Amino acid sequence: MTRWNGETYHGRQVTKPSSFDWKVSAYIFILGVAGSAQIIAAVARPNRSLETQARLLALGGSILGPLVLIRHLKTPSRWFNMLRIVRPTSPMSLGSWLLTAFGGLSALTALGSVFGRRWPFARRISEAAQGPAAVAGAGMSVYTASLLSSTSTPLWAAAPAPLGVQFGSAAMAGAASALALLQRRDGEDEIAQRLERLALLAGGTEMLASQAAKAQWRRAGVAPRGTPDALIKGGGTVAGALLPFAAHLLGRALGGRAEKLLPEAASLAMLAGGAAMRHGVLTAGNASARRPGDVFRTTQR
Amino acid sequence: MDGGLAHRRVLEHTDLDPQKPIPQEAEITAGCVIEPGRSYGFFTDTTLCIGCKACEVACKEWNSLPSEKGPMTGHSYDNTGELGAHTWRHVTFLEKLDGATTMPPYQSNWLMMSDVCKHCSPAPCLEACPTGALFRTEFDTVVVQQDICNGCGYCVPACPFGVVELAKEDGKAHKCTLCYDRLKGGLEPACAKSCPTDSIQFGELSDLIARAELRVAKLHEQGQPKAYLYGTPDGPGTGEGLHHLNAFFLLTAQPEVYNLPPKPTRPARNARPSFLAGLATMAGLAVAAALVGVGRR
Amino acid sequence: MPSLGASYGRGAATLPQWDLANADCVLVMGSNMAENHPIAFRFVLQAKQKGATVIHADPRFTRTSAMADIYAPLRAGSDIAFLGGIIRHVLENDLWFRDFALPYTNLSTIIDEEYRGPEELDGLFSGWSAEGRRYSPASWQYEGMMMPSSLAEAFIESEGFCEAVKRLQDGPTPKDETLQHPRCVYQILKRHYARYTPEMVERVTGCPREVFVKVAEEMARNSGRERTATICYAVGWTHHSTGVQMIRAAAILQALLGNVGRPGGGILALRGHTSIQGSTDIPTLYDMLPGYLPQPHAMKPHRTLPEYLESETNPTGWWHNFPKYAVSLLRAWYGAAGNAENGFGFDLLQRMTGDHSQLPMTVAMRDGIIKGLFVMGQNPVIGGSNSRLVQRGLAQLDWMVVRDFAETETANFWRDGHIIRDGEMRTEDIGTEVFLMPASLAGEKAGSFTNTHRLIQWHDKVVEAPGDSRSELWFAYHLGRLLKEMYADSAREEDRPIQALTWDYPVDEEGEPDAEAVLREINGYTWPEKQQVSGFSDLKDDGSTACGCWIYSGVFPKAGENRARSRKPDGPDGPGTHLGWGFAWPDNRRTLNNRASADPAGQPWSERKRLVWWDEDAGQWDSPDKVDFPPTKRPDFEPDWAGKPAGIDALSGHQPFIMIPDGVAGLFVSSGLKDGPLPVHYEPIESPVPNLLYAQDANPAAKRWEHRDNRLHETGDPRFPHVLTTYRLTEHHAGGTPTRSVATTAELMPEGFCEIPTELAHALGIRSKDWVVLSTLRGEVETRALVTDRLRPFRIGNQLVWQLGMPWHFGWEGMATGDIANVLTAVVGDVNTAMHENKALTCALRPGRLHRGER
Ligand SMILES: Nc1nc2c(c(=O)[nH]1)N[C@H]1C(S)=C(S)[C@@H](COP(=O)(O)OP(=O)(O)OC[C@H]3O[C@@H](n4cnc5c(=O)[nH]c(N)nc54)[C@H](O)[C@@H]3O)O[C@H]1N2
Ligand SMILES: Nc1nc2c(c(=O)[nH]1)N[C@H]1C(S)=C(S)[C@@H](COP(=O)(O)OP(=O)(O)OC[C@H]3O[C@@H](n4cnc5c(=O)[nH]c(N)nc54)[C@H](O)[C@@H]3O)O[C@H]1N2
Ligand code: SF4
Ligand code: SF4
Ligand code: SF4
Ligand code: SF4
Ligand code: SF4
Ligand SMILES: [Mo]
Repeated sequence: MTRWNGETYHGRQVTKPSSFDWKVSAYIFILGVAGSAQIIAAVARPNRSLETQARLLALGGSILGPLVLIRHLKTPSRWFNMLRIVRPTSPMSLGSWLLTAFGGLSALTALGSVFGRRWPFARRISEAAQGPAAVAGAGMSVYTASLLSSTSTPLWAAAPAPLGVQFGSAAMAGAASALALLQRRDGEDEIAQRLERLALLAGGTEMLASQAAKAQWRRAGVAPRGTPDALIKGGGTVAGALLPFAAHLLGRALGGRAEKLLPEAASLAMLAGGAAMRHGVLTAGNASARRPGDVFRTTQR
Repeated sequence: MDGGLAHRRVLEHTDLDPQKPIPQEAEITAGCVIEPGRSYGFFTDTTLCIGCKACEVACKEWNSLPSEKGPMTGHSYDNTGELGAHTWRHVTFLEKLDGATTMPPYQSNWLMMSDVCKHCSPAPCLEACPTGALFRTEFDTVVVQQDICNGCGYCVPACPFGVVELAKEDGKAHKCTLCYDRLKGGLEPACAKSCPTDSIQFGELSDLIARAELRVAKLHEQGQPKAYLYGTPDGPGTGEGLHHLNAFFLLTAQPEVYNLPPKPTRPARNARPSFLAGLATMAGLAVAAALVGVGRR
Repeated sequence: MPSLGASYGRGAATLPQWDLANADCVLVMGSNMAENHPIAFRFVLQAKQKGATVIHADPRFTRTSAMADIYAPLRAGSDIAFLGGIIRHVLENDLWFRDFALPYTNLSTIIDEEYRGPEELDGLFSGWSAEGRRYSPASWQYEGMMMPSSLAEAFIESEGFCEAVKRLQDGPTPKDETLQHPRCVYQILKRHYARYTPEMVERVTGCPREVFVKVAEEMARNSGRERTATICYAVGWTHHSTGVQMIRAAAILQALLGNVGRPGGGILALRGHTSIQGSTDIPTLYDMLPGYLPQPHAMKPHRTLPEYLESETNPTGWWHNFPKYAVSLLRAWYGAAGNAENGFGFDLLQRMTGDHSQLPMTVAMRDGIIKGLFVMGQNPVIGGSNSRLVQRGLAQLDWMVVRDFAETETANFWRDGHIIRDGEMRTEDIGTEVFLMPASLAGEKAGSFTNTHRLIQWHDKVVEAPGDSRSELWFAYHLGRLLKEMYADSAREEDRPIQALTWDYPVDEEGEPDAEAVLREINGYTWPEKQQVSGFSDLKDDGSTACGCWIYSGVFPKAGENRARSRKPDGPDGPGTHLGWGFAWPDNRRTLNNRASADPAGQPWSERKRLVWWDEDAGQWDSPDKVDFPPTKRPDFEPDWAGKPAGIDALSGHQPFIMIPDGVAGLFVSSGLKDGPLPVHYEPIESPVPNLLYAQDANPAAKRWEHRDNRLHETGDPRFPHVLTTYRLTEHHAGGTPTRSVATTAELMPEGFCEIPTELAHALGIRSKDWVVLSTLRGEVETRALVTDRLRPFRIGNQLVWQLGMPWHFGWEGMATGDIANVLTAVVGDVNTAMHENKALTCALRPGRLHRGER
């Protein structure tokens, strides 16, 4: 068959954009933080206070997230149909089950932290649940990436692996930053610094992943444009990595109150950046689905 | 197509009581018996399409779908635009005239094609659906169960052809059912039955593919070398994981001008790489977390 | 239809649509068949799949062109130049089917020495009277004898007519089989079309020379013993001031090529509405009685029945049976009230005095001559030419009855019409009292359709009509019943016709008359026993039979046998004539003049094209079709001239055109047509260019109505430089009420528009969907632009001509709306049919909107 000469059908869209909006971006962000928080919880011992904060953060996320997600359903009253079947080919189906498990496990782990002193058995349950919870948490942090990449939306489908890394590391960066802030509030500056270091590491990873994704998108001819592109750059690279690095260095240099305030600002920037990056990817995808050129470039024989 | 068999059945039935429905009417109108357990689909031969839109109207009438009247598009005679929640057949029109007077046989200067849900095998929309609202029927077609769909909308970006869509009215996904209700009653789908030129041919997939291949050969010898099939196994219209389309097409120009992707693929194949890459990252970061010693006192 | 009538004897399609599948070449010209006759077009595609060549000649590249092998673009109104060119090509290169055309047409007949053609008189025929603006056909006759027409009106105004035509019984018509005689039709044709060279065709029509030649060669290549070609036309030809002659040109070509009465050969007139053929057979036309019998005329020797029969009966040919049909019709109408004194009621028939067709009627309304109007199944505000004139006319009426299923533009012109919008009139000043009555649609009532190829098909009532909707039959019957009651005891002479009318149709409990009773009467029965007759051969001229329409006789041969209802198709192995499916007039014959499918000796021209043959042993004609010829007349039969043979006995066994007085196809038509014996290219009445072939620009005999509301454009008027043609879209039906008021069809073409060639649009800065204004001296309309390459510029002579196209379906009612194309058109038409010229006029185009006066 002859090679494509760039001609389209009256410039009309080929695929339909998803109905996913900010609610889905928010969900991805919240459960990313919650999921990664469980991983931190798993390695936080013997730091009880951090463990507890991580577990509660996870629990909070696994309650708030679904509420936002259900709001995005066009028939919310039927959200439970998600649990009607298990569809191995559908990340959304598996994700729903994973979310259910994660929610349950997070509840169990929280149980130990809250009532552990009075009821020893609660502690034993949470000990047992912690491992699985961390694994589920890892899943929660990344499954949304496979959910987006298993579609016919050109930009989402063009870079599956980098997207997984991007979302995962952003999730960890978010969780670490959130906990760092809490630790700072408790005056645990040293723990906070370690968490901030973890966050910077994750942020760096995410920055590299973003570059990799960019490269793949460009090669596929579906490079993001306009606002979504700005959100990805600004959220993923600038606010998610460069600014925090700078803030920390500056903090060190200046010392004094800056040594406390700038890292806090950095953590906030990381959280905001992670959310922005996710929303950028989401909207960039919807836009590319509307562009016949993106679809045809990614479906040549 | 030769209605030999069909005619014979007409003769048998002309004496029947007109009030009573004819059992297996499809045998008369489409020359095929409809039985559960077999694969059915459409062979849409664009070289026979006169762009009359009878298929669009028949579909809306049979399925009582609302009209989506907008202003004129200015895109040749296509005022329908695209398939969607309320439009399950869409005839495309593309003018490629450059002053031609003698042309390769069979409309190659004003392309018309009646587009429809491809009832893909495997079907990306179905593979994406978390509720099981989308299912494969006993006729090997893909249908949405309205009472189960919860409007998650995941099937929409999953479809490589932009077919299925959520309706504003009820927030559920809607698309061609390949006239599931009619098939159950032994009736040919409304669009195919109303097509005056047999551009839309309904039948058992194997028969259709055989018929289509003969048609392509015939066209080649009649001087239309550009004719090819879109959506038959391993041909254009299929790609990694997307084996074939139960509703396939005979085209005379590159797929793009009919608004069809030349090589659609099975989206679900992307799930594993992104998930594994993600998990590896998390493992790495978990180790990192331990190393930076977030737990140490 | 007069054209086919004058040429082949019957004004109807010569073949069934499904026979197109047997054609080797199909020329679709003057029709957008794929869009307007999709079901019939199915058979064109079947032929194409078998390898036939499909050609579309049209000013626009349409959905039909998209399916064609050859698309011949030509300027609207230039078809005679194109077809004349093919005729010349065929004659000059000896490509015509000699063995067929010589015996089966009047090619060798010698014409009166007084005859002069347009090549000599620069565009006029001999017999033209400048003051009367009409022709006398006296000089168009056969040498030494007068040829009466096979059309409704046989009588020709000229002294001693009846004696002159009787000479047809004295011996064969004057012929020169060698075709050497300078006045034989063959030589006349050659002289007549000599100037229609490919070069000239290109200059006049704008069709590239090589494309034209290709078309001519394909037609010729696919004709002869082994192959046949069909021509399909519709209103792309009839809607012209030269419409009848366009079809004549096709008839001449097909007869020369031997494409008449043979499988896959002929002329398929694609008729319009589902039963438009029926409405010419049992006419809604003013000048004919059912079965193509002439309407008595006040200025003709039609004072008494004997005089009428004497002057209208052809001495030779099938029409010699005319008295039987006329008398039987009168018996059916007046029954017992008819007697010897009043000529079976003939005296009660009203006489016509001139042209009472829709166009002059419109003008008469405008001038306040017509006071009341019934509009039943019509929407003249949209469909009628010069819509503003129509609206002004309606505003002058005292009353109007509109029967439709929705409120049409005609029904509410007084509220939303142009005359109101423009502030020309105010609603309160319009005195017309409008009665809008709900009409039931086809599925809601029983009745018959006569389709495009004369096939009468019955349909039963399948659903109840909503509300108070009633059928036409119900309305007409009860209107008549009430009138009869009102005039029952009147002594006035002018009320006799109403009193005398038989009006005895049985009605059911809802008062709905039995439609089959009407069909039984149309078929005919014996009088007074009322036993169904088996066909028109049973009809008598002594009042012992009654028949509502002789050509339909046989459709209801005995009580309880409604053949229009029969639904028995041939099987796959069957002959494919489907004689068991419905009933085709006459006498269930599917292909007309099918005797011509056999050679003079009675053998098929070829096995491939076998349809009718003489069976020597059985001593009769045999065929899978009904034979359109006396069943046992031997092919070698010759009339016995000594005995002054009359009617069909005056025709030999090898003269297939039995309706024509001399039994052969009329290439040269001596009488019956008011604008000449041969087709001549004239420009449309409104044209941007002069006639490049003759000094005479437009058809001199064409009908024009001088009226201040109906001003015409001079040839080449610079204010109106573009050619405009109007037409249909497959998505809508005619005036649009049935489709624009239904959501699922309205959305397909949601707005009115005008198709504009790309180059012109660029020059004027117009983009698709922009508003544009089209104007003529009749009015202005605003509509959307659809810029397209499917319309192209034409180089006519050395002048560049742009052509615009506007679908005429739109109006202000319903969901899909747009301005009315007919606001632009004029009341002008063909002299033979009074058919308007809405396919070719001139107009101006400008971007922007129309600023109408406020209400
Ligand atoms: N869908 C649909 N079908 C219909 C109808 C309808 O309204 N809608 N109407 C029915 C009726 S009432 C009728 S009469 C028939 C009419 O059937 P058609 O005659 O096919 O109808 P039109 O579209 O009016 O004209 C046909 C073509 O004539 C072309 N034409 C215009 N001028 C000329 C000319 O000078 N020469 C040639 N060669 N072509 C010319 C126009 O470009 C147009 O493509 O259709 C019937 N069928
Ligand atoms: N400019 C331009 N003008 C044209 C033409 C053109 O090509 N160009 N075409 C001409 C031709 S060919 C024609 S035939 C005319 C058509 O012109 P019209 O006959 O005036 O137009 P229609 O819309 O067909 O009118 C039919 C009406 O009858 C109604 N109707 C349908 N079924 C029934 C029924 O059973 N009973 C009753 N009582 N009403 C019924 C429909 O709703 C519709 O309103 O237009 C002519 N005018
Ligand atoms: S075409 Fe789209 S909607 Fe139809 S079956 Fe395939 S994926 Fe599903
Ligand atoms: S929108 Fe309905 S059909 Fe589509 S995936 Fe979600 S549940 Fe399934
Ligand atoms: S198969 Fe039925 S539902 Fe699908 S397009 Fe045809 S008519 Fe519509
Ligand atoms: S009905 Fe048939 S011919 Fe008409 S548009 Fe649809 S596919 Fe084409
Ligand atoms: S609309 Fe009716 S009449 Fe016209 S083509 Fe279709 S079936 Fe025939
Ligand atoms: Mo018509």
